Amino acid sequence: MRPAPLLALSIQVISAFAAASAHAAPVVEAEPSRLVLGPRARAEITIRESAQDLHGAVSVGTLLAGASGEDFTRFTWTPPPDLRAPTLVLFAFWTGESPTLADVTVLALPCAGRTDLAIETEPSAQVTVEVAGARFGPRRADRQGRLKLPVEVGPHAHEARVIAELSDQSKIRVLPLSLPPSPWLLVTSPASSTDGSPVHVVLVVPDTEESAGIELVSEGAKVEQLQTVGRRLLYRVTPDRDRSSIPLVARTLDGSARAQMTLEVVRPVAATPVAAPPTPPPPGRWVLGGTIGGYVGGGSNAGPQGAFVVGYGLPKLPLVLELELGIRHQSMSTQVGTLGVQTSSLTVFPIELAVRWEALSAGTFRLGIRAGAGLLAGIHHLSSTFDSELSEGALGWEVFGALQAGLQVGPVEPYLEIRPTLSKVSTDHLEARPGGGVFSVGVRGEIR
Amino acid sequence: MTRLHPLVMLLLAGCSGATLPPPTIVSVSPAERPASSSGELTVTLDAILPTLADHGANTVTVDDRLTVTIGPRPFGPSRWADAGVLSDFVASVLPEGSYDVTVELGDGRLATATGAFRVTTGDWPVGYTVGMIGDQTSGVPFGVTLRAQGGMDGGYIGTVNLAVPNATVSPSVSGPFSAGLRVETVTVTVDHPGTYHLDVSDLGGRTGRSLDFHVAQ
Repeated sequence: MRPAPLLALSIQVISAFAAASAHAAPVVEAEPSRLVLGPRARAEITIRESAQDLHGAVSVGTLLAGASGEDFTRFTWTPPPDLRAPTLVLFAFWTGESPTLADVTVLALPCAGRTDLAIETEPSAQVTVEVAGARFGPRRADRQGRLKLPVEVGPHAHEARVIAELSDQSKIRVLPLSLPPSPWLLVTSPASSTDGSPVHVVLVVPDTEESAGIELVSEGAKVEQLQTVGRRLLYRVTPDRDRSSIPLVARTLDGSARAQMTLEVVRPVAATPVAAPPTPPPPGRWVLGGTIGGYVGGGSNAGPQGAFVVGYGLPKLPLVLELELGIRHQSMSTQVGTLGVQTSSLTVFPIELAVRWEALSAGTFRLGIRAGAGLLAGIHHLSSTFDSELSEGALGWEVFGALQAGLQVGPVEPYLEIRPTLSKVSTDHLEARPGGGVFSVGVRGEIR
Repeated sequence: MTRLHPLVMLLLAGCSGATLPPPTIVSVSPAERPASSSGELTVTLDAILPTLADHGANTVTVDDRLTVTIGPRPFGPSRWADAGVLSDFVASVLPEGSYDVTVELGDGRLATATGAFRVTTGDWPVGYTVGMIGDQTSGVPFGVTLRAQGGMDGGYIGTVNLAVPNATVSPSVSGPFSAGLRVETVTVTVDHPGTYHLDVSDLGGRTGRSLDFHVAQ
């Protein structure tokens, strides 16, 4: 499914994810908020305070741009002419080319189908039908106890209650309703891949879906799940080299396809004297985070530690280059012969560069491996009960590897890190190894 | 002492570690004394001792070696003690004049307070008498009474030099007199039994001598 050039709609705002994001999710309204499918069925969608770079998509039907003003854009949605079955129609709106789930507003428009319900009951009974709280009838059955009663069935209906009244008696029968599943919303942003660059894929599953599991499969591309919020998922799809189109299928775990589309891969035209400017490289990701914890390196080489981390995710690669600025502190007090007590405290500020490999992403679980090295700039302070105090600068080094495990929770990822290190800080008055085993709890988030 | 912040020091120096400053002689008390008096002198020092803290071994090593001199004479302990407040008895053995006080730490850092201790003109007795000394045994301590005759008001409070010709006497300088009187315990060591006498003298040239006494082996 392709995003409409500019779209619109609103019915029932399923969610506008409130979270830190580069773009504010659009505010969307729909009129009416539910409708009955038929030749004249249509809905008007209005996006308030929309930005210029507005995108939208719908799971079924046609979305056409209508009037627009300074602070709104209006669209008209019409169902396919042959759509008669109850359907929960999904809409998505966002701004920008690579949205996160926080940038996307999702709406659901319940569309009811109209049908004649064939009923067999007592002869001449007065029949009423209830479907999802709506009543149809009463109408009297013929002498053979048969009648057809027109009813409207919404996408959330599961059964019809048939109430037959005859004299002073009434009978209630429950008829299960078997409704076809509503299609899922599947859309890419941008609409096509430029020279094989990754695109974001938004997948929204209606709450009427009863089959278990959600998966996005493709042929000729790498699919990575970036975010999950309820039944809304964000993927990154990276086409394989030399592919010109990528089929994408969203389906349940039993293999039933619910939405499908084809991602086109656009190749730049060979350069000519008047060639267009080169295609800008796909944007990288900036990652900000912080950690807090402690370290144990033997003897008095132990204490609390924390760090601020800024990273840059390389385009097309599951690698993040990171700069880490930290702080660690350790102290010891020792009796020196008959002189008195000497206290030595060390505060170091690690300045380190690291590479993090996003090794595994399964659902919301994340596993990363880091390696890095850097300088340990510090302050060493000596104080005692018998001589004067000394403060000196101290410089050292550290190399480390690390294992991280985290969970993607909306736009942020809390994680744990275990980091074995080799470190050394020494002066004429100090021998210390402020590292060893470093244990941290951290959280980070991406900024695009 | 005014110091730059250690991190600023680190940035300026481009390396780590600090060069320790020289020790400081904070005070000498009393700063002057008559040549004919003796007593305790206190020198107060301020220093950062050479220290190595090993956080891995949980140990601190401190080089507390120390040498203090007043003029030509050594003063105080050979190890840092009492947070740098050093006291020692100074006999009346320094002639009138000004003396430098010098301190040297174990790593060679040195400080000198020029003319920090001044010795003024002494008020010496006119002479000394030595009490009767009975027969003694070589190497066995015995008491002897020393009296200063005349001199300063309240009596002499300095010290005297002790000597036994053709023998060794310990100590070679007496303890301080009090109101002109000193009972000193001395040990005389001789190579041959015989008759000896004890000579006392001060820096002002006054002397005294005991009667002869016999020292056996």
